[in-house]
Amino acid sequence: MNEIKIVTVVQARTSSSRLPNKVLLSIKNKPLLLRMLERVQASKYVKSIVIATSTDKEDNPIEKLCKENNLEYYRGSLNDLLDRHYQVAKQYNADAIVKIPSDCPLIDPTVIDKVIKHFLDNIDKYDFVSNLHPATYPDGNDVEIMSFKTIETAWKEASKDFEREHTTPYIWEDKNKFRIGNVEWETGLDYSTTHRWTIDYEEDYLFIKTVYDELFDINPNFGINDILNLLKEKPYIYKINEKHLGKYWYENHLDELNNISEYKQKREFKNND
Amino acid sequence: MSKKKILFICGSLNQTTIMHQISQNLSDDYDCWFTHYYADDFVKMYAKLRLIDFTIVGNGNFRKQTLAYFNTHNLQVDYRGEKFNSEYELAFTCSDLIVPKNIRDKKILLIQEGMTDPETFAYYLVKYLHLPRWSASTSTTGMSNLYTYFCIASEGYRELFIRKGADPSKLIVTGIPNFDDVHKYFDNDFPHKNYLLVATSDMRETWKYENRKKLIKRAVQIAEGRQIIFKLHPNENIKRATEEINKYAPGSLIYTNGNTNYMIANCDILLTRYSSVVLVAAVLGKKVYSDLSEDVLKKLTPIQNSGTSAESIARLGRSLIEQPAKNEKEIHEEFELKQALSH
Repeated sequence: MNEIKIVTVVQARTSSSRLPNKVLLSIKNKPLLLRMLERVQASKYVKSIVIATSTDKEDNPIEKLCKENNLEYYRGSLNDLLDRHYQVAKQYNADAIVKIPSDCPLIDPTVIDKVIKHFLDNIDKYDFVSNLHPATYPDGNDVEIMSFKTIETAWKEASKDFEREHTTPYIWEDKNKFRIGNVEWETGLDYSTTHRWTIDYEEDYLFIKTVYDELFDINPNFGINDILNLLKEKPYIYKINEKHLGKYWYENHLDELNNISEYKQKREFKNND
Repeated sequence: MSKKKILFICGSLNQTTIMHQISQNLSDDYDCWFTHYYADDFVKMYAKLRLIDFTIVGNGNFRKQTLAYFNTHNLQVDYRGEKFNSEYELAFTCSDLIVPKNIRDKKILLIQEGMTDPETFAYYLVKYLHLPRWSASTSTTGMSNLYTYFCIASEGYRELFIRKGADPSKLIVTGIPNFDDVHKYFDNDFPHKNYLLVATSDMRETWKYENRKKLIKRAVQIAEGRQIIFKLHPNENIKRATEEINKYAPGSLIYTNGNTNYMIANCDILLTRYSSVVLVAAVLGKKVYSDLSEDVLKKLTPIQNSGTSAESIARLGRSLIEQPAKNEKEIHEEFELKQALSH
């Protein structure tokens, strides 16, 4: 098999109503986005990374950051993320595209590798592979990979606003149209709603910053187990952003989404707890 | 027999909390009454016409906050001190820029509220052309000499006020309540640490020039990658300030309220223009960038009395009422020398 060209797209913007400019917040004296990219670059399979931001002038600082750090970047639609990803894939002649959101600064490179490897090992079997359907890893380790043909089909056919905004729902919502693969955490555990390592709120930033402050100097490539050991050793760190556990964008589209039964079950369980 | 009465003239929330702390050491024995800051003649008219709402004598946020504070703490209010004017034995105030006519025949204790404004061109107009003191803002604090004594923060401030024309015999270094025992601020619940704190001012809102873009860019430079946290002045145009920060220092956190002293305690570096927050930062040993040189700031740093400054000022007030025959020498001995020896 010829080597396929994989392009990793990290979507980033500054206009977050809950925590503006979150990707530019400082972690160990560097913007959070750069810290996250260090982790993505540690993946064995990730070669080409493109930061996909918007043409909105508020995102000029992201372009500036990319230029200053010799990072590839693309500027496209603010709200049509599907278009943004597709345009990058097209522009870079990608055979497959990896989607990683920029709000995962604690992402474990080995998780990225597992998802990409699963896709490559089953290239004729799957159109789309992720670790999100169902999700089992701690929230903030989101990796999705799809063939160019898959994203192109979605780009042509997806019509609902949330399908355009969240890039991939059109793909993973239709199991008859696309062949969907999933990588589950090998521990058999499900920490997707009990461990929040993503960033949407100031408390999330404090949590992430604290984890970095504790682990980075010991091992800059710390992974999931290092973080879990830290939380066991210092439970107060877990509590920093505990109040935001289990918050997903799905919440606003529960009636429109079909393929999130696991999420709904967990949500139900959490509400009855 | 009814208790003797004391009037506390408040202004900004900082001044109001200072007054309240002093009164708590007197309220058992004296009848304490409070008023927001007030003026006479045409300044009174300006306030009525809502032309000076951005000042403590106006009808804007300062007054609203002060009245709310009175209400919350159930303080007795005698607006403009008119109700019991003839009965007041003593008046406390944090500002002598305007000394209302109805207290000029009384004993007055002026309390330094914090840092004073820089000596601009307006200051020299007041000093040499005798324009009204309020026209040069707090740079002229202490220059009226209409007070009985002026309780100040440090020996450095004694030098400064004497240079400006204050009567040396009226200056007493007592320390000042809101800048005393500042180490207690280390015990706080502010969640961030190791950042650069930028404490902004309301210069532009009070008709002074400030190059905010320059300040923000300097913050980015000084931060060297650290997280930057902006604490906006309560009197500031929040929308404008936020837009400027997001433009020139994206990724900064912006706080419009919260305890500034806690934020100072947790920061690595403080950047500000000309603000009282440098006094807290200096005591806490923070690296400070401001319009004051490090040497000057060191001299001005308020003395620390383990939180007893308000009590000490209250004792001075009590002494003025109960022992009117005490001369200046005795007052200085009791309230400065003894205090100095106790440290």
